[in-house]
Amino acid sequence: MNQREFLRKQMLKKTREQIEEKFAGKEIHIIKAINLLTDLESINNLMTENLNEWKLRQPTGEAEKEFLNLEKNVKNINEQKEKLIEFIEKEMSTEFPNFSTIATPIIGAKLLASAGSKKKLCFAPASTIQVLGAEKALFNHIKHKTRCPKHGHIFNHPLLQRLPKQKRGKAARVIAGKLSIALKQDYFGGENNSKMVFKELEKIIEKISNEPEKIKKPNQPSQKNKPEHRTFTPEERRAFFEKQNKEKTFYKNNKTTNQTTPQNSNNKKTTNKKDFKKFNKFKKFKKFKKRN
Amino acid sequence: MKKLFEGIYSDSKSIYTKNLNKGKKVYGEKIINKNNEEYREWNPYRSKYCAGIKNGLKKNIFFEGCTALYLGSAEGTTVSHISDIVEKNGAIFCVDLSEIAMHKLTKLAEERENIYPILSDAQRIENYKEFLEEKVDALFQDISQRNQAEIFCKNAAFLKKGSYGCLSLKTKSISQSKTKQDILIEEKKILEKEFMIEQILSIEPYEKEHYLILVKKK
Repeated sequence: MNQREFLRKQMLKKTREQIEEKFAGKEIHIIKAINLLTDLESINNLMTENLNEWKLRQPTGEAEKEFLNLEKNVKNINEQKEKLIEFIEKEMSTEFPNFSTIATPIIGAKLLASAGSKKKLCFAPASTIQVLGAEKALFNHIKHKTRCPKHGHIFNHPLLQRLPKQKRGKAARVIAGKLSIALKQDYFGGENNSKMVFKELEKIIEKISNEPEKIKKPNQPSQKNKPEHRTFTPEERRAFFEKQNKEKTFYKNNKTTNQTTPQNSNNKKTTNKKDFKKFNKFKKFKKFKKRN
Repeated sequence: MKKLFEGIYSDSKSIYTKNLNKGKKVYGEKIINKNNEEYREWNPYRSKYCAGIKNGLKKNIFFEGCTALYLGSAEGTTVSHISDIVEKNGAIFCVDLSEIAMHKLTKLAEERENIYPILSDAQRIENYKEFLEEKVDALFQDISQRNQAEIFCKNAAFLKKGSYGCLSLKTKSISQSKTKQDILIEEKKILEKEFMIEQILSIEPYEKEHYLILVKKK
């Protein structure tokens, strides 16, 4: 029994340490703040919609009291939003000095929230940073083979917004690469050279925007190549059967000519290449092969 | 008080267990005094194992002095009642992934001496292999994942031969479009590799789209 008590105390200690590790990290406050900000934006939209509709009806008496109450609440929410943005900018600049200047603090905080923790984000490769925030599209691509996503939260980056649609994928790749380098500098205590890197990035993206556009065929998904199911007109049907009959007679004629020759032991080598090509056109080639 | 199973008692209306930690409530449940003993009421709407007992479960997998492995313990509402059943000589190893739920469970574990908390994913059994060198008498799982049955089969490595386990199957988390009877047939095939299936119960009025499956290890 003493052994068991010793084991229990050890397990309690271990779980407590694990929980404290998760709760003690500074980045959790940033994650909570950015989640609240996205919620507040949707709440604000709903409330202002109601407010504007009510304003048109010109409320009087007791209705006016309720209306003024709503107006006060909307003001408070707007104030809280501005304070939250200030808080996030301040915290991000102390935790991630390099990363927050290149990615802008709010996009950086969104990336941090979807990664989960500081360590997970800093150890991630550039390709995962590029698609963080587009998880639904990514797993649809892996499962159902739809087209893969080019950008997640990075899509709102100010450098990316100016570019035309076709060049965004290439630019997102470049930005994600620079971001992953900056994250590793922050985690292992490197120097702060973010302003220089940002200027470099602007030059690279200007280069990309000046490139001539490639004319590309639109990528068709594999399902579109399947024949469409439709009803035929009688003329089309007649033409189809005539064509099929022609093929049958052609096949029969050739079969008779070929059956005269195959007495040799090696059939494949004796048949001419021209004959081979002819029969390749028909799907019944396999049956012919079996008979000989 | 009528005795239903070992450690589980029933009134005409509801189900009770003897209180191990006297004079203390866990989640705001009723406490009744009878014949100089304290009993805690067990709510079937909050605990799936209790709902199974109400609907006629054949056998109680927990008994006095047994060691049990509980996957998906959450905040410890069901765990507190099982710790009443196994009493001081028994042990319950509780596995959960969420830190916030485990924070509440550690507070419960300080009060009750037979609860052993583990913060880990139940799919990664190598994380808590070291704590379970002796094999376990009973296994219970309540996890809402797509691969519930596979996780249950993985954790069967800790279970003794011929002992019982219980799985609460949430069919909604496996597929939204299929019917629950079709899902049950597929999940049965996975379970039959490791277990003999003894009983299948639906806990319908208390919990929707759920099954409770009683199994015995081969």
